Amino acid sequence: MTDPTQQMKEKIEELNKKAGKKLTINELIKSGELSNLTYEIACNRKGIDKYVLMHVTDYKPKGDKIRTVTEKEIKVKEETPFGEIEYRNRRNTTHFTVNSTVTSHFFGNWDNKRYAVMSPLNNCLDENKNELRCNKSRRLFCKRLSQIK
Amino acid sequence: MNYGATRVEDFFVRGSAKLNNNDWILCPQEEIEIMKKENPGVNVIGYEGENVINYTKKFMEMFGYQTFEMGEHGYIYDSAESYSFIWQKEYEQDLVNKGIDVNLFSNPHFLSWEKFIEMELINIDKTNALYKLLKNKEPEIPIDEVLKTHCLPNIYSCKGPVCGLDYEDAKEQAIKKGIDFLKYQKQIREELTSLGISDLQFENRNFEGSMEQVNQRILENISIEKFLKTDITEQYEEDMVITNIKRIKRIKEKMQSEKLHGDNEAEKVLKYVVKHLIQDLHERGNLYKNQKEEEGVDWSDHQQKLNEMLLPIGLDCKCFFGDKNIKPEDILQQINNNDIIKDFMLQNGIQEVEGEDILSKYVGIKAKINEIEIQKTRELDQEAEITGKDILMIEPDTSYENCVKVNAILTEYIANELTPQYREYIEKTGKDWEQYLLELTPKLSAIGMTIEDFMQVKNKSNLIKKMDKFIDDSVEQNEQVYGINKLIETYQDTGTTITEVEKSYDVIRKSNEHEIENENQQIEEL
Repeated sequence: MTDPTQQMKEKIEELNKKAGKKLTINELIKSGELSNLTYEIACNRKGIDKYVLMHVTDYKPKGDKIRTVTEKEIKVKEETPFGEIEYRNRRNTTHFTVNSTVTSHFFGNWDNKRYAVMSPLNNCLDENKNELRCNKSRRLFCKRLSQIK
Repeated sequence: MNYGATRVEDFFVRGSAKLNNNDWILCPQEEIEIMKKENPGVNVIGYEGENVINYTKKFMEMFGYQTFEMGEHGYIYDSAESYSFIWQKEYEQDLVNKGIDVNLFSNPHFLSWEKFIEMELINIDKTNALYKLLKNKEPEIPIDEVLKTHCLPNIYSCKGPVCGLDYEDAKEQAIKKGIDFLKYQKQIREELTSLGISDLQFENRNFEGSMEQVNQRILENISIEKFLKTDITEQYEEDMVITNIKRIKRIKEKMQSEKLHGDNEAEKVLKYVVKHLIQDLHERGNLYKNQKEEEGVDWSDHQQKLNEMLLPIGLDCKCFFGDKNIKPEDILQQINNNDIIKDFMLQNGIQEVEGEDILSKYVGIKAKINEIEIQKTRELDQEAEITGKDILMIEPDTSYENCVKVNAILTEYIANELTPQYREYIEKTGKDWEQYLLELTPKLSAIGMTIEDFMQVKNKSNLIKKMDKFIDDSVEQNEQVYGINKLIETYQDTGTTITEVEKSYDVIRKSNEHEIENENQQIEEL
């Protein structure tokens, strides 16, 4: 079977060509042209193909990658008893949610973000399979004993 | 791209995330062209409106993905029968089917190695920023006092309970994930050096107390660190016996060169190290011996042969750990199939060892590792002497780091074989394994051991008894239990060699022989 993401991509390109412009998501949904394909793909999503990663942000991805706040050299300002200080943001990680969108909580608000990136989980895992080797017995030695099965 | 965790509510990767032509960026429609230009390898689609949040769900569903409402700790569900709950379980199972260890990658971010780094570096940056501010703005403020009372405690606290992650835990995570721990430590040390506090010791981080106590603790640590001059490479040493022997040797040299006899600080460090040495040496020597004897090998002959190999690299038979039920062919197969070890052996000219003797293989690799380590240490010493740099600030090369990896892998192979058998034994006694480990951990911590150290000790029940006694008794009584006083006296008064220290250990061990035999008998009966 053809890759479902590829199928959808081809269909969108076909619709863009037909419309003579790049259709927005609003227009694609409104057209109803994708419904049958969506249904067909949804029925065929099994195992690891069922999962997708979603990342929302105010910062533009650049050079085919989502950059971390550390890489973007974003500074944090903080008031101290001696005056304001400014220092680097050291969060050098990129965060996603699986088949959902992050909700705002105590540590952050994502209600008004401008960009979103969607990445099929399988695609991501295959790229990194060598990083995922591990030794099962090592789990026993973790201090988080509640995780031991 | 490397994984930090795979949780549904916070799947994260280390560093930036690379995208490809299977990925999609959603952006305001007026930015499509520029977005495509800046990300030519990724699909871009526009939306109408002010923010993207209203479109993410629809977009995922358009591609046939099931979506769920997200809470702070996972999908929102009412009960264990809820579809979202079942689906989340399926997700974990599908990851397992894909060959991913969900336990290893299931940390929430706030308990992860990545958060650990983040907090440490942020606190150093804050300290640095505050230092600059004070220096420029308020010259009358005593900067050193502010650093001690406001900044250093932050650096300390972030390493432990505040971000919920233990240092050892973080280190373990880092090594498992193949993170260059050495490089990271070097980075932190450089940052600290820039603040004039390069001698802070990393291990002493789990401390909560008043500012005065924190200050005192910092001063103590600086003092101990200055005295020990602990080489950061020792953090990697998988064999604690070697580490401790090196430390004792170093302390002894230091004591002699600086005439520190009677110095309280020196005695404190020495006691600490010797205590660990005793515990680590406990009973390791007999494991391999039992196996060989069962095979009908003459142990005296075999031991002599082994020692010929081991002594030049500072080991002897007692340093080995294993189990009499070990299957040498399985481990040998694993080692033969391991790419890192294969490469390492190829690069270092270590010949394949024929037959099923795991120990020969292990010794061959260990010998080479040790040889490289000694050579590298010499080079580092020379470089430090020539350049006048602190040895800790000199970057070791890849061959040295490969030694560390191979060491770690070999240790895991051995531990693999040992753990299930001991678990079986505990369960046979009717105890719950998980509960057993929970009860054991604080006791082990009290004597400076980890579960991993513990699993490498054969006569565990005997050790547990001693631990209980250790915790209950006064420090002085406890030292008598282990014979530490005797060792320290011998060591300090006569400048005993390491071999003699070990002989003293043998005496103590023999005095417990009867007790140990009883324990072994009980185990066998079970």
